Amino acid sequence: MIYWEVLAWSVLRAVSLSIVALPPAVAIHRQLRHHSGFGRRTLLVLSLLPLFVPDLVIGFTYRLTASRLMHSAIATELLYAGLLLFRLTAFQLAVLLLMPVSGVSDSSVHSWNLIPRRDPSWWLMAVRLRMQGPWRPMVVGVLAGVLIGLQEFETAALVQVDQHPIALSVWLFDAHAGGENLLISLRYVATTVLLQLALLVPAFRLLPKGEAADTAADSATAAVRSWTRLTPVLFFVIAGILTLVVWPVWSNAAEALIGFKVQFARGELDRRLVQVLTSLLPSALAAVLSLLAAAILLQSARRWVLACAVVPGLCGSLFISLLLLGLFQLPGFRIFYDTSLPMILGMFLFALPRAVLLAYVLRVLLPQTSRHSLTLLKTAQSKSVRQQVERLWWRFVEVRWLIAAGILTHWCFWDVAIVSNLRPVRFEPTVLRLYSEMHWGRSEDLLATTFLAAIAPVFVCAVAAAVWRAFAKRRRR
Amino acid sequence: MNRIVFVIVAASVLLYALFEVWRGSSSESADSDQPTLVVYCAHDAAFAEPLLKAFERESGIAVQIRFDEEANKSLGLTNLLLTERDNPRCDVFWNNQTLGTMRLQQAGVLQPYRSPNAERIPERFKDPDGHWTGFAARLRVYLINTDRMPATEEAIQERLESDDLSRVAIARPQFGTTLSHYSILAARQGMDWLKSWHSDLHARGIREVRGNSMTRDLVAEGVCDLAFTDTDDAFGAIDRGRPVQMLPVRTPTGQTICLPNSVALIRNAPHPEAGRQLIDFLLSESVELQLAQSSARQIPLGPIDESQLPAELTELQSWAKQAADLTGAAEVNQQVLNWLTAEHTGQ
Repeated sequence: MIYWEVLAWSVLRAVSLSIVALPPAVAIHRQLRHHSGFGRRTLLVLSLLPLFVPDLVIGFTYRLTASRLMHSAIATELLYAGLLLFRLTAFQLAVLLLMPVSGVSDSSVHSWNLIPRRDPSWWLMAVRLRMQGPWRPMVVGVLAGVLIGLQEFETAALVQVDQHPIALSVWLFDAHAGGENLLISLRYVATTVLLQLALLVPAFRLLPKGEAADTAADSATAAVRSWTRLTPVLFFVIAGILTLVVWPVWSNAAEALIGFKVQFARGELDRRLVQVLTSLLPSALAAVLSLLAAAILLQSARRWVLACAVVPGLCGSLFISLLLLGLFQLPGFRIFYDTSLPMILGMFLFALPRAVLLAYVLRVLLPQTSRHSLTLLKTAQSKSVRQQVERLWWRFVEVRWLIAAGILTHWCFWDVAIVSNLRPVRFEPTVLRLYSEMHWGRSEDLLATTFLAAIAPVFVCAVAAAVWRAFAKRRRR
Repeated sequence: MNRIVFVIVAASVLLYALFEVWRGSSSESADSDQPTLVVYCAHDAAFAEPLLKAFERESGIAVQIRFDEEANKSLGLTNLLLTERDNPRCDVFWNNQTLGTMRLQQAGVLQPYRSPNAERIPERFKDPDGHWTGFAARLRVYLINTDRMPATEEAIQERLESDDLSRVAIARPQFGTTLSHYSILAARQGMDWLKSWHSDLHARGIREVRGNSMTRDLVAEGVCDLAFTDTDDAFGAIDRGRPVQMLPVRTPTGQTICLPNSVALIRNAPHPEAGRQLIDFLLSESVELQLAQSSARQIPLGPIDESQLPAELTELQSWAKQAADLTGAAEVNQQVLNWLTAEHTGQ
């Protein structure tokens, strides 16, 4: 299949799925806004959980299913589409939750609708009002969903048995791994990057520039708090959890337990844990660096500088790693070739576009004025005010940045191409060990280590948050 | 504030990298009599790691191993060695087949070394100038689901000549042993014959899947009836008690396809002497015996104590004796790869 066919197929799937994922995301969002307490928190966690299941686990679980469906291209495509749909829904929900809803109130839109004239300029303004108003989070969600759908690689590669699912990311990898010239591969990538920029630019333009609007008054997402509407939402969320969390855990738990027992008996469990933690370190460093760089870029850089900074990341981890591999063979850079530097730099570039998005959202979530007020109140005379500010600062600033760093660490940790090409010889990251064990068919070891690798970063993040908070408290005293 | 923290973290990363450079060079100068050997190993770690650890214990030489990643992800150690050609960090390359090693020889990446233990390996499995030496081989085989069709050469022939190959699987030929298989066919039958055979198989609907382990799984699970794979993958299904049997793949002139591991010293390797010691170790009878006794059942190429070999290897050894010569295949290997890449990209 030639490049343009694969590109068309992949774009078509990404666009269709991103659009299909929007209604359930909006429906879940509405339910979240009209519920509170434990029920809301549970629904929120369950809805976002698919975002944090490693692709490797999903691909590994459904590989055999895909092989059984091999004789039907439609069935294989549907399987992949289903797996992607649940994750895109979770992703779009995250966008809806994080985006301030509207700079244009519903009453403005309604007032415009009352104007009887219906000429082209009326329609143009009607669309503009909606794009700046109630449609904005949804349009950004769909555009970002298309990007995620296009970049997806791991699950597509693992469930692709024969020709289907046709995925551009896998096709590009195969072309290069098969010996395609790097320059020709880059030419293919350039088209893909342009396409991604074409999606990113309108998404960025739609993002509000300064203050977050009050979202509570918005009635575009007003919903009747009724079980009739909650039922299909719950049905969808539960289907996603069953597909992406429960079934992978259930079908692999027995083998993972055997793996844990074997590792424990051989005294390998602590070695594996150390390997997971060691692998976490460069990912965390790259994540922190990319988040800081994103904050600096958003604060001071021009838009074109920002665009240039995110382009390498949009090319994908494979091409970042190949370019850096070539770069660190050159005199002057060669000295650092067998060190951690190329690997961390690769992860940093890979994470930067995502970090920019997260940093932007964090900035919008806490407008400069509110941030400034909090900063001023930190020096208040009253101890109780200072303590209150401390709690608010922790809740609205520090926790959010920690979560963002955790998410970026998770993405860097599970990326294969960069560590595979740029790691120093003495360093074997967990994710590579997992792929090798999958190849050798040692599924017990593989699954035990995967569960360890999935849990350990969460635990480390929690510890980091606790330490940070304790340190911050002590510093402020 | 963000700028300051960014500079601090970035400077720490840079300092750590400098520390790694310093540590690398100081450990080299301090322990020049006890070097750390760097080995690139494409053979599965489950089998190779214990052997390399045994070498560490015997020789007192520390070994750092870089294994090849799973085929789906890896760009391959061969490509990496080509990239590092002017600045090698690897001392010894243990490849799990031979054609990639021959490609490195053609590119001038390898340093000749005639190991005394290479004497026990037949001439056709080693380079006459000593650039590489083969040992412990695999064979290309057909894996047959015996619930679906009889495991006979006639039945296989009949199936491969039928109009519908939708229940027959082969791995993607741009990679691994399927690429070697294609190169051997190109060398013996010519490129035109290979192209026509390939397009004929695809016209009749053969399933081209991502790797040999996948072709094995398809037959083992009954999704396909017949597949091209390697002996080590086939044993994976046989050991799990699946209803499968294997028979050797043969060229149109009746020869089998035998793909040995190969070991080679890298030109300008940082530790050539230690590298030679490792090559001597890997070409020993004891290593071939251990690889034969592993679950991959690799076929020993040199003389060995037959009484210690698993029973099923006797037949494989007789098939290996009928193997096609690999020399011509190395010459067309790049041509085959270029053609397959062009097929993939539609150019």
